Amino acid sequence: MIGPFRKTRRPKPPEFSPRGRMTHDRRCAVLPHVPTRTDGTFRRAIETGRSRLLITGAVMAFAFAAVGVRLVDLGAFASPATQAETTHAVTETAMATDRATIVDRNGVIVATSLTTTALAARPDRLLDPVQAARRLARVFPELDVADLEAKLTSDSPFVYIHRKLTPKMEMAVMQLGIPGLEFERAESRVYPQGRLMAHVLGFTDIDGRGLAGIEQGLETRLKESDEPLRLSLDVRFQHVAHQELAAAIETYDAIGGAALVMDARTGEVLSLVSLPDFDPNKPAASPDVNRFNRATFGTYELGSTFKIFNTAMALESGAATLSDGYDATNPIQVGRFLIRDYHGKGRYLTVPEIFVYSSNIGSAKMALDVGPPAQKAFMGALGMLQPIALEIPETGRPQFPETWRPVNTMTVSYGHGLSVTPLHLASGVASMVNGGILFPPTLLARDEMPIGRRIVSEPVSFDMRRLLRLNAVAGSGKRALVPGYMVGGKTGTADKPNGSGYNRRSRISSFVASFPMNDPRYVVYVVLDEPQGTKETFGFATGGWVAAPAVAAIIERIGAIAGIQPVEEDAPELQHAFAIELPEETKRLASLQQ
Amino acid sequence: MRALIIAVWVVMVGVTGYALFHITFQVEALEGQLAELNRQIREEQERIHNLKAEWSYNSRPDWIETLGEEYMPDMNRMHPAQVLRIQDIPFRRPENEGLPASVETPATTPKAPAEAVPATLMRTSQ
Repeated sequence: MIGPFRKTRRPKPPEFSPRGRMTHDRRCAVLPHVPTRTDGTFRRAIETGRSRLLITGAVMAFAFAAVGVRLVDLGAFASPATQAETTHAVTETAMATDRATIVDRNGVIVATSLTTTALAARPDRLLDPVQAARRLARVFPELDVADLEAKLTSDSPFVYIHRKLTPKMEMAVMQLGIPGLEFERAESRVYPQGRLMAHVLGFTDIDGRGLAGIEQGLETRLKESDEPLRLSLDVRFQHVAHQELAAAIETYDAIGGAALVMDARTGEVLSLVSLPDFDPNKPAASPDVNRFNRATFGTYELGSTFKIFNTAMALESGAATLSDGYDATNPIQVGRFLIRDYHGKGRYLTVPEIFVYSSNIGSAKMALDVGPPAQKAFMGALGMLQPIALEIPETGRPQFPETWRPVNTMTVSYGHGLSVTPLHLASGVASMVNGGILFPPTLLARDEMPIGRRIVSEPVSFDMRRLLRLNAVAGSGKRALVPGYMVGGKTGTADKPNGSGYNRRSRISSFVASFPMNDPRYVVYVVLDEPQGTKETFGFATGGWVAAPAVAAIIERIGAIAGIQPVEEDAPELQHAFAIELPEETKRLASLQQ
Repeated sequence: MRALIIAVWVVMVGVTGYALFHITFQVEALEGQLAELNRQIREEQERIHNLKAEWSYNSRPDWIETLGEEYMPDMNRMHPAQVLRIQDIPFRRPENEGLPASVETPATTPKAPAEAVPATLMRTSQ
């Protein structure tokens, strides 16, 4: 073999020779017309061959050198940690679904995707569509033969016959052996808890796209990650709130309602119910109005519950103290509005009395002392002027006057002229009782303390707890009391606006409570839409009569679930800490207040 | 000698070739097994997934409540007063009455009352 580097003998330079001598050359004799070594073309061929050999040799040498370097690298330098896994032994361990599972805060599955089989047909490939339709109808008695025939003879290249086959149905269709039928593996979204969390979870369409609630709001998160999504809600709390709200709606013949349980310390929503609701497994089975989320989307004038914010604002700004008072003798006439009290006392009232009697006149005067700009700023800081950034798309935008005039200040002080969602109110109240810090509400479990915003100082927050407790003991919140849980709360009853004015017959009755007042854990809020009084409530349909008992029932049951240690409410330390002096008349009449 | 060397080479080549093919086939068989096991694992996972969903469905609070009402009619809702702190639960009386109670109580015991205290023991953060 001739190596690429072997020196070849250069052909001698051609020498001129007469033709006669050439005949003696052997080669010339054998190949008379082939170019000789003395010929230029021959030499060029050899040169080409040699350079090709050289290139090939260089490439080969380079390849071997690369292999050698890599060998040394692997043998001497590669660390075991960076070694790649064997490529052929593929281990498939994790089951992946198109959408992540949703669990409650304790890990109970509330929404998950199950693999199902769909049956489809390609009509152009069917041999005998009419007969196929007839045979398929025998497997699916619920399908109409005529419809099937129409589907199978249609021009469309692909039609679905059945979206969710059971394994038994699949077997039966296979045994029919009809060519042109196809099975398609698909996923269907299942909500094991049924209606329980309808408005939180929302639902998906048949192709697995979120159309409402968390399913829509966190669509990307659910699609991208297989990790279960952990909600802040607790199935047990949710069940309690759902049941008690449904019972209250049934008893008082309301058209709907909402119930919220919030963790006062973190802003986590533990329960969110809006009724009437729907079954997310079959959303089309309920009327469309049932999808309306009264807890986070519906905005209402929530009435006297706003006096909590109004009083806190007055105390925080220094415009009033608990020992101050206002003259609530006469109704206030502002333009065509007449601000009057539901239970007029017709005298001078102290700040705690204004709160306990729910005096609109006193609240309005208190708000005027603070002033419209400060009130607007306070409401803004509480988040009452913008939609809550929640994980679901159904968040209501508060409605408030463009120009904040003194008359608006007066009406907002007792919860009119400013429409917010029940969630706004619950999170606001949480910030009033938890020491004064507003935590943004969330539907997802929080593992670490969120960063809150201070709204009122701790002493004011404590004053609010005392006032709420006083109202529950001596005022309109008696029906919300649960012995041992130190419940404090405030009623709210607002007439619903109807076009030009307010309708005194249709109202929003609500009750917001927090417990235990010595160290608030939860805020419970129940709103009833257009409740009607019954014989038991003497025809009253105000918050104290219709919503407070539902709040009490919820507190009693979730307190036990959460394992909250009941306190001795009559203990002198607590009595002393929460004592607020009221004039003698109030103590006597408070029991009659609603 | 030359023939011997050639024979040794031939045998070695044969053995190597056989071993190589043998191992290759074994690996292929194992890979098949692995694939089968992976498939089974997947199926099991899917089944577990379905069962979890079913468990969630069968343990719905309203269904548990219905069952409770039917099969445990004597059970009532818990009353707040039934909740006790762990400290309020008295230690079991020592079986040996001759010894003083303090010997039986562990050193870590807080000054817990010896008798059952109803849920009236208050806790205040104020």
